Amino acid sequence: MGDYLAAVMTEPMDTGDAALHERVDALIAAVGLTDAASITDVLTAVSHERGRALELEPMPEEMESGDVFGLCLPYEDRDVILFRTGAGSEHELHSTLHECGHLLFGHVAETGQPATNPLSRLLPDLDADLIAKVLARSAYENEQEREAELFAMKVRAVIAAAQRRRGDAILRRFDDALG
Amino acid sequence: MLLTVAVVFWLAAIVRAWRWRQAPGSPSLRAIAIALLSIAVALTLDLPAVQRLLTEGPLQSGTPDNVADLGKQLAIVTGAWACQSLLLHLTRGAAVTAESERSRARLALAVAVVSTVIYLVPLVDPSTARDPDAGIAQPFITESRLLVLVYAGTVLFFVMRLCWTHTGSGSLGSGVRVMGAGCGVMVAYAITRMTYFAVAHYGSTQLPTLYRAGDLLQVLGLTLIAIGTLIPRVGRTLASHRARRAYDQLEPLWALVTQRVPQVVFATAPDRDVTAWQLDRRVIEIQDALVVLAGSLDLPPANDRQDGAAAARLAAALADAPRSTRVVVGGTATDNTGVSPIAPPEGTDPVSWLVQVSRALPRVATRDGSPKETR
Repeated sequence: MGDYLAAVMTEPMDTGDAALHERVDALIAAVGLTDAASITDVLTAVSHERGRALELEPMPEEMESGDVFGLCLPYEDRDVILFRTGAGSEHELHSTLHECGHLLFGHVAETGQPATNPLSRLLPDLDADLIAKVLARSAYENEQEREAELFAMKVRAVIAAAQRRRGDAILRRFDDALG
Repeated sequence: MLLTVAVVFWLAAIVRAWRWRQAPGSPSLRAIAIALLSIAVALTLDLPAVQRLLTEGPLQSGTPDNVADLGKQLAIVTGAWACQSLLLHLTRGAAVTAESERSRARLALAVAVVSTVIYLVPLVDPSTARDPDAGIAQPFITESRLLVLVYAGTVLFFVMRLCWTHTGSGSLGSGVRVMGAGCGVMVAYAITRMTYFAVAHYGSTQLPTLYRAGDLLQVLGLTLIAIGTLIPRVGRTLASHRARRAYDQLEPLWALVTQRVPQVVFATAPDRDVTAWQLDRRVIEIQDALVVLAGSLDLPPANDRQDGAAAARLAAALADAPRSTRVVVGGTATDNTGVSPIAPPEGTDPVSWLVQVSRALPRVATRDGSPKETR
């Protein structure tokens, strides 16, 4: 993981929206996603930054529960993102990007002991230590969730703009000049 | 006609200058703003009323070596230099060096100095006096104009080539294409003018038809360039209006679902493009809430009367939307095609689909005799 990411994780969090935007913008720039043209670019960046494989899978039906839209499972040798299906491809993309945001920020679960972690009921077969690290996309009650959600919002906008410009860097600059 | 073109160009120039003020750090925005302002000034100096004012006014500059004519040439050189800078920043982006900027500035400066010196030769050498019968093709002025035309025409050719090889979709793509077409017409204008001056001066014959054709090409080319630069901005404004309308239309659905699943609301202020952000947020929050509520849509209404009524209205509204036939409240789903009841059909824009669901809410409320209010 780069120096910038390490610095971001150790700095005290400013809960103001402006500071939140700044942190997310800085992360997107630091991992080279300002020109991301597809989810593949983002997944590649996550895998590169974390130095391990990243797998993306739909959430199994038996794990679908309540307001959990995505899960991020940091195994020893790889990361696995599970995304909730049902509300369309845009929603799946958003949930996946949210989990990518957690991985890039290096967030860790704040839910305390594995035994009391509500996710343990979703993942009964998983190791308790791993469950303690699992991050789920649900509500935005803490700063980690807000960072990951803002990351998803911004990167989705970058991808949408890139698709309009068909990945053409010159057209992106035309957009800056004429937009 | 020239006045209309000048007005359109000033409009385009002011819009770009205003955008440049908003984003002063964008070199390509600066370049296009300077280019448009320069050409707007050149067009204004070409207006007969302005020429007359400068000729008869306190400057007493005389014709044809007048201040307006010379000023127009210098404005064109400035515009061409800005176009060169635009080309540089569009093609190289962050890799542009100060030296590459300077080399283009030096070229423009050389053209400006040489063309001005040539233009002013008759003022210091009486033996090269104007020939009143030669009309516009005067000695030295012709050479000066040819130099400026070659420089500006070459730059416009490269802008045209760049525009035609980088066409995107939507209003940006349309704007770039129209701008490229305008540059192409202006290249044709430069060729007709060069031909006219060369023939009129060195061939000692006038080609008035060619000159008039050049006038028409100039009007058409400049109009296309100005409109091309305006199209993306107009497109963004229209998109913003559409986003605002969709945002308002989603209000009933958003209020209904977030009342039941309030934790999906993400209250963070946007840092740019407020309307697009708000709409995007609203769509995601609705989709999140629908994912949570989807499981309860096929179940009989809950004991809680208010909750049950809300679920029934939501399910009915989803059922009203295209191909969302799987939703059945208080019964068994009849359609087993695997189509998600909370997702738009394949290929449908999710925003317009959710708007349809939201607009169906008041209808189903009325039909069912349920509460008329949707909030």
